[in-house]
Amino acid sequence: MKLEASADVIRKLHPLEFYKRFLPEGIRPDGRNLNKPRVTVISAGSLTTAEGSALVKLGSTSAICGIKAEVTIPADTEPQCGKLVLSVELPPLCSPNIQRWTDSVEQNSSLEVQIEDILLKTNVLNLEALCIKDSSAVWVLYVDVYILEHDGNCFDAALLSVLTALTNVKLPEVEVNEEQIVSIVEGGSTQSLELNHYPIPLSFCILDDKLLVDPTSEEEELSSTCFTIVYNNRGELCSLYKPGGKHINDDILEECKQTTLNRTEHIVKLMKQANEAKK
Amino acid sequence: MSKIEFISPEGLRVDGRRPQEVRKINYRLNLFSRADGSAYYEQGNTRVLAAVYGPRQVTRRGASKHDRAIINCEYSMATFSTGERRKSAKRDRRSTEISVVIRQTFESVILTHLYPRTQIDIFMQVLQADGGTRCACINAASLALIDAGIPMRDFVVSCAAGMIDGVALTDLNYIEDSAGGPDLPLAILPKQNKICLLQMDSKLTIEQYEEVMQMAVEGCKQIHAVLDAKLKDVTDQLVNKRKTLL
Repeated sequence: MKLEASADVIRKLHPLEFYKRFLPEGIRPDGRNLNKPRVTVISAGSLTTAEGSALVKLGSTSAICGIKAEVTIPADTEPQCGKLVLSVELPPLCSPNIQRWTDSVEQNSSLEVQIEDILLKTNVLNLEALCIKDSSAVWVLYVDVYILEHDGNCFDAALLSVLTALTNVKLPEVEVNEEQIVSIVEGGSTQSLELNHYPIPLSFCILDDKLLVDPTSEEEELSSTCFTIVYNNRGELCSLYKPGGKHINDDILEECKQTTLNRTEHIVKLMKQANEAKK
Repeated sequence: MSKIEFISPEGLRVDGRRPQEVRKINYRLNLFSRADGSAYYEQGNTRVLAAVYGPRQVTRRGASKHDRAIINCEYSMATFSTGERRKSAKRDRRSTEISVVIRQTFESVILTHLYPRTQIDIFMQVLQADGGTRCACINAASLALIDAGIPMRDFVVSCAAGMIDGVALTDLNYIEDSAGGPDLPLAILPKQNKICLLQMDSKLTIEQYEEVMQMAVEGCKQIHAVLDAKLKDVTDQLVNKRKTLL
């Protein structure tokens, strides 16, 4: 038996040591610079059973989002507001570390809360636009995200897929009769949703005191802390999220904010291209 | 309400197929870098993903078998996969039943005795459902297992057949499936000509049953031909890339 250890074996047995050979040279094992996000691919409208859909790939991390629209009765307190129900799933299919649906419950919930907060609190979507008839009928959008492959940074992939799917939504023209029954107009037009702004996320991690942009799952596991910054296309800060981990100083945060800001334009362009390609 | 015409006077079905014709099939292997094997499978408008992990350490120690690998299957439908939104995406009765059926199908085909004390996981996710998801998932799982390099007795191919207005039809789509006629999902080992899964829960005369069964077998054979041809191409490409067989 040969005792020579190949790079792959060292990577499995001593992952941190493996990374320490790369990072001081300013390069990562997948060939990226430390501040380079992975190739991002966005496509829209690939699911025909959903009113709106999108697939987003960040390297090999991929998220698919489908939006189904249904008619419902609005809440008494907000008679003109439609509803948005978000769910994020990490099925056992997506990663070797998730072996059962119950393994990912915590991760699902925190992703759901983060994304829902950004959508609703920064007013991405006018919920009034989902009103069909005052205090009797509104649209409810069920936004369901499935992470198909989890190779790190699934928050970014999930949020981008939700935004692209929202811009892809086509609501059918409906009419309400005297008995308050809503029906689809045969051969009617479709209505798209206008987003007020596009919050574009970028995640970072600190590994061996180096700042890494858009970490893979291997990097996330080895890192001492991960955090996410969200800027919108108007240059406004929408969200900062740093759940525990090693402490960081202000200048790192400033640097990261700048990197995120510089990326927004490129991503918004990709989203628009994806939607135009489908028209 | 007028009755839908499932077979036109010219003998064509609602989507323009002939009775013995399966839908267009397309698939891709090795989509996911983190799974040991994976496949994306498309049959008409039905689209499914399958991923295989393993053989790996058994999750529940007590379930481990000293002489063979255990197989774990999970089938689930995405909430947006059907015309009306599905409420619970996982763990409803139908999904569990399908998971069990698929597990039992593969338990008889995978050479489990080669991997004692391990577990092989097969996860299937339906992205879009237009009838025949059970069969599509079996085909996808079969491809993903091949992609993972797990030894099997034979390819497993699956196809359903049914009967509407006295005409036997292969590979029913959603509209035909909901017509209320008999539905007969079948999985076979095409090289050995053996049946590994057969389900039928409806009343049929023996003659009609023979006819529907024949349709399902024909469907399986058509699907096998398509899958096998493409698989050989893919393997050729892999060999060419590596320039050697070993």
